[in-house]
Amino acid sequence: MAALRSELSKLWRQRIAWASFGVVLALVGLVTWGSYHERERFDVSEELGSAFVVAGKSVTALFVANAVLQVALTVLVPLLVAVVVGGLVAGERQSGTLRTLLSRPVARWRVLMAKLAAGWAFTISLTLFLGLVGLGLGQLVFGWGDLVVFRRGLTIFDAQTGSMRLLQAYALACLSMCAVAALALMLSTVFNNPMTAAGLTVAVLLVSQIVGAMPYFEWAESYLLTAHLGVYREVLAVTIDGESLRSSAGYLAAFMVVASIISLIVFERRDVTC
Amino acid sequence: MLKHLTAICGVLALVFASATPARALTAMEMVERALQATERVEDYTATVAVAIEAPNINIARRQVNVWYKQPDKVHVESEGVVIIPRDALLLGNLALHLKDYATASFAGEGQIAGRPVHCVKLAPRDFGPGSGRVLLWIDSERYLLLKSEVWRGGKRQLAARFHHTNVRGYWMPEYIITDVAEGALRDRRSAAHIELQFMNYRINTGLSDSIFREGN
Amino acid sequence: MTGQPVIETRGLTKRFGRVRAVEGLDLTVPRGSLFGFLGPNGAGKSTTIRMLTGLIRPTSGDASVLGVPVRERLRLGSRLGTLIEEPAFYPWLSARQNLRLLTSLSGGVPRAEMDATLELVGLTDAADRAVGGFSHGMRQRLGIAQALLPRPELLILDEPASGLDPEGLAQVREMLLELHGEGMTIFLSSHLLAEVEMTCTHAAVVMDGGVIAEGEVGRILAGLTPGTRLVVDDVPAAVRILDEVEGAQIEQTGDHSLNVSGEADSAKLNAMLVEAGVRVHEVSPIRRTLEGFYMDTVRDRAAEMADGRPEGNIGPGGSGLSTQGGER
Repeated sequence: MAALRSELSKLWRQRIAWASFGVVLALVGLVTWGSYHERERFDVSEELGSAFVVAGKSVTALFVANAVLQVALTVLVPLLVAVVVGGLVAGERQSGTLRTLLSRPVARWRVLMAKLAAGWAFTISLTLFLGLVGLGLGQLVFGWGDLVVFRRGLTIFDAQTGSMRLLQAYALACLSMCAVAALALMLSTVFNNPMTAAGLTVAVLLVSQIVGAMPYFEWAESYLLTAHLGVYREVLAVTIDGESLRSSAGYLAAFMVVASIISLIVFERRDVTC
Repeated sequence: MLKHLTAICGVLALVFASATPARALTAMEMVERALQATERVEDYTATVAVAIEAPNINIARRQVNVWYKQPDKVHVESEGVVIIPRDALLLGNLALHLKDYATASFAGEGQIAGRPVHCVKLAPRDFGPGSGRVLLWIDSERYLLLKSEVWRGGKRQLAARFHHTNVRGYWMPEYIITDVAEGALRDRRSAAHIELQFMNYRINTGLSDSIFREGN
Repeated sequence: MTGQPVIETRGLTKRFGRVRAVEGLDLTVPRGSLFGFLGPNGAGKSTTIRMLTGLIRPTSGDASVLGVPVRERLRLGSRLGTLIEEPAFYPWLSARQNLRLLTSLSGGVPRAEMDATLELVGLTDAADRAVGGFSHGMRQRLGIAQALLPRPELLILDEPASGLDPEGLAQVREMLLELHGEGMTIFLSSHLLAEVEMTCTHAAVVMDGGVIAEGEVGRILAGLTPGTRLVVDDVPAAVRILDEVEGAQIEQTGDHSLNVSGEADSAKLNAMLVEAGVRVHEVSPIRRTLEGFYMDTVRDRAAEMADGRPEGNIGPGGSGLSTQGGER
C-alpha cells in the first residue's frame, strides 16, 4: 500500500498528468461548443426521412458524454495514457530516481505493481473524467434527455436506459484504456527513454489499426489489440451482442495479464545501470 | 309549408343516402367521403402517448403534445425523442394519398374490429412495376379509415390500424398502431412498431400558424 | 573488527555482453571497518556496488552482505543503507517529502529520526524546500540522509564526496567518522584518495574488474618503503655514491633531482653526498601516502597487462599488502 501511495503521489505531482486532464477538459469543451452550434446536424428526422415526425432533443448531456467518448478514445486518451504510463518506469530510469527507489529495501515486483496500479488509476480517472465533464457540460448547455447514438444508423435510448448503457460503455472504455496502459508500462520497462516508450505504444496501436483494416490481414484481426479496444461500443446498441462483448473483454483482460507478466519479468531481471 | 317540405325532403335524402348500400359508391367516392369526414377537423391539439418498438430504439412509452392544422401542419413537443409516422397525425393523410394516387379501385371487403369495411386500392394512373400502392380499409358505414397500407416495390412498407373515438361529434383516432417494415426507413436496418394513443383532444380551436413555424 | 565479514564476494563476475565489468572479484569487508574501495574509472567499482545492493544481477560468483546472499537482499530490510553515485530525487518534492516517500517503502521512520538525520547532514534549514532547487552538494547530502534512514548496520556509499566543495568534503568526512565512531560499518568508493586515507580504516584497490590490493590503511602505509628526495648539482656522481647504500633504489626525476627509496634516512644520505663533495641543495623525506600506493599499484598493474602477464588478481587479498607499492 505504501508503494502504491508513493506511486500515486508521484504521478499526481507530474505536470503531464494534470495537463492530460486539461487537454480532456478542453476537448469536451470544444465538442460541446461544436455540438451546440451544429446541433441541426444531429437531426434525427434527417436519418428517417419525411414520412416521420421527429420531436424531442437529440443533443443532450448523454449525447455529449457519448460523443466525447467516441472522439477521445480513438487517439487522444490512448496517447495521453501512453505518455503518462510510458514514463512511469522509463522516466524514473532516465532521471535516476529508479536507482534510488530500487536501492531501498523494497521488492521490485511491489514497485512495478504499484506503478501498474497507479497507471491504471490514472487511466480510469482520465476516462471517467472525460465522461463526467461531458455529462456536466452537456447538462449545462443542453440539459438532460435521451441518448441518441448516430453510428451505423440511429440508436435511441431513453434517459434512464441511456445512462445505464453509457455507464457500462465507460466501464468498458476504462478496461480498453487499461489495456493500453499495460502495453505502455510494458514498453516502459524495456526502454530507458519515456518518449520512446510512449511513442512505441502509439505506434503499436496505429500499426495494429492499419493492419486490422487491410483485407489481406482479415484473418489476424481478432488477434489485434485495436480490434477489441472499441468494446465499449457493444453496449451502445439496443441488443447487445453478448458473445462479442465477452470475447473482446476477455481478450483485453488476457492482454493486460500477459503484458503485466512480461513487464514483471523484464523489470525483475533488468539491471539498473543508469 | 314549402320550407317544411324542403326540410323533410332533406331528411329523407339523408336517410336514403345512409340506407343506400356503400357498395353503390365508387371507390373514389368512398375515399372522398372518408376525406370529407376528416376535412371537418380544421385543427386539433392532443396529448399522445407514444410507444416505439424497434431493434435500435429503446425508449419507454412517453407522452407528447401534438398540434395539427389543415392541411398538413404538425407540431410536436416532447422532452425525449419520439418518432411518429406523419400520416398518423394527419388523420390518415388521405388528401395526400389522393393527390399522389389518381386511380382508385375496390380490392375487397371484410371486417375490422367488428366493423364492415371496403378495401380500396389507390394507384398512380401510369404505374410501372416499381410504382407504389396504397390500400385503404374504410368503414363502409361511418366512412372512417380503419386501416391503411403503403406498398412499394412489391413490399409492404407501412401498415397502420386506426381505432376511433367520438369527440363532441368528431370521429377522431384514439389508437393508431403502425408497423414500419425493415428497409422502409432511411436507416435500412430497422423495422418498427409504433403505437399512439390520443387523449385530451381539443378540436377546431383556431390554432395560429405561428405554432407551426419552428416545428415539425 | 571481529566476527563475520559484512561484505564477502567470491569470484563475483558481471559481464555486459562481451564487456567484462567485474571479473572474479574476491573481497572481504570486515565488520566495523570504514572501507575505502578504490580504482580508476571503469575498474568495476560502481558495478560491484550495484551488485551488492541488488541493482545489477551478477553473471556468476557469490556475494553476501551482512551474511545474506545479495539475491535475497530483501531479507536485509533496513540493515543496509545505500547511496549509489549521484543521488536522484523527485525535484518537485521537498527534501523531507522525498525522504518520507522513500522510507515509506520500508515502513517509514519517526519524524524525530528524520529530523535528526537531516540535522546530521546539515539540511535542517532546507528540509522543506523543493529538491529541484538544491545544489549538487545538497543533493549528495540528502542522498546520504536517505541511506541513513532508518539507521542501518552497514552503509554502502558510491562516491559520496563526488562534486563536493572543500567545506562539503569536510562535513561528509566528519559525518562518516562520527557514524563509524558509533559502530556503523561503512563501505565507500571514492576517487579522493586523500579523503580515504584520512577517514578509512581499510581499503581495496580494484582494477580491470578485480581486486589488486586490499588491507588495513595503516598497514598499507606502514608497509610502504620510505624515501628521500634530493636536489644535487651532480646527479651522476650522486647516483654512484648512493648505489653503495644497501637496499636503496634510485630514480632520477629531473636534471638535478632524484628519489631514493630504502631504509636509509635522509640525514645519512645527505652526509654521504656532502662527504663525497657533491653539493646538496635540498633534502626532503617523501611522505608515504595512499595516493602514492594507489598510483604505483595501478601503474604496476597496467605495466603487467602491457607485458602480457596472466590476468587475474595480483593483490594478496586478506590483510596482506601489495608488495608492488612504490614510494614517493
